[in-house]
Amino acid sequence: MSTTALQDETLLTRIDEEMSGRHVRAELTDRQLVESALGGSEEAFEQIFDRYKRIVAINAARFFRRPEQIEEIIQITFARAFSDLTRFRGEHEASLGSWLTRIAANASLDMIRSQRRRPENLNCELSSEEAGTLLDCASNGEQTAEERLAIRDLSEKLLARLAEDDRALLQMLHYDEMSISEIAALLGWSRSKVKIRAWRARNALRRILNQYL
Amino acid sequence: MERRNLQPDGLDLIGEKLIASAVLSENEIEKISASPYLFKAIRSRAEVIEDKRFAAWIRPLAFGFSSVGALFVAAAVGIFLMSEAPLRAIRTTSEIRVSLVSSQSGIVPMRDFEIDSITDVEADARPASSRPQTASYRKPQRDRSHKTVAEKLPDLEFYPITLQGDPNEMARGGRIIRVEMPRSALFAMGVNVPLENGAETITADLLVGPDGVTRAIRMPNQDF
Repeated sequence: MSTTALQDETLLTRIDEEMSGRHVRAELTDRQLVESALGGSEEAFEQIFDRYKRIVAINAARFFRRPEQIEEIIQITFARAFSDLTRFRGEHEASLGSWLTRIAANASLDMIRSQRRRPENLNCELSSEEAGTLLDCASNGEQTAEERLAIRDLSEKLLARLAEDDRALLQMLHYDEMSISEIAALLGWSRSKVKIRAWRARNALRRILNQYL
Repeated sequence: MERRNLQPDGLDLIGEKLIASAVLSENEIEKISASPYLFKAIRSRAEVIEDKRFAAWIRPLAFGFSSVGALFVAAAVGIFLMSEAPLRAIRTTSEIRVSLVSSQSGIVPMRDFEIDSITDVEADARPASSRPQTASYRKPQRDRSHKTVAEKLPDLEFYPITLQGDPNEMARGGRIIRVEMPRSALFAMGVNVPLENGAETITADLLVGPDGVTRAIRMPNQDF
């Protein structure tokens, strides 16, 4: 008997030993997890959370930049999903991920509306030197890590003057390269509304950039 | 700094680059979503949402029940207030009973009777039934010198004094005798009058049956 074969036998034996005392867990589908969560299994809901928390966070990061705001959106999204899980069962043709991102987008828009009623004092004045640096760096092809951090801080200051939903819309269009239909489905808007809002967001950004150029 | 006049397309390009540079990195996203307390916070929020929904569902139900209860109370109060009618009916019934009793005892409304001449009969403490019969059997004699009481009979009701005797006796007629008597005599006859000034003389009309039994009495122009 060769050593390799012995090793294989040992490996097989070991696998058998592992399987003898335990249930073999196959990865459950979204539908199965939902059914299990509706049956009262908190573990199933936690699996749903682990599976889709990153996607929800990415969605929230389109609207907000501060970690506490993104965390708030994640909490609201999954709390609403947990409460309305019965609505998802059998009623949604979309996948669980699409449903959750839709909830996250609505929660983000709700938070933006509530924040507009309580405007914050923006201390993000950009000096002309900073604006020049920003524009020079933005026009350059390659950037170092330090330059990227500097650009990012300056961009945050500049883009803070843009409304969150306008900024999220421009990011979805130009960075995430989402189609008008995809954005409309995500935000629950019509295609024409998406186009009009995108046009307004672009004009608003041009006006902000014109102040420093 | 030299001001650059850029075309809209140029501004759009710069804007897109700025937006791309401000996007959170994968590591930052991972760090935010990997918070160990995130799931606990989600469970707490879910419980709060469920409690709010239950309260939103139970509140209109409670309001509805309280409204129904208020309606019941209002209806009960209304019924209670309307229950005055039965009391009035009872009072009316008692009055009717008196009049019925009176009619049973044969007392006829005064106007139907020809009044005897006014006789100043001094009533004493004896009950009316023991009064001398002669007064009741006296042949009525119209004393033209006196105004007949019938002309001046007030529109008052007789109050029955006794329910004894044959009620059919009154059907054969009776007499109304106006007397002056002390107030105490009224009390002795069973009329519930205040006993102040017991010696005070009052005027009373006695309805006397043919058997001589005084059936009813009334006090014209008397306030008790």
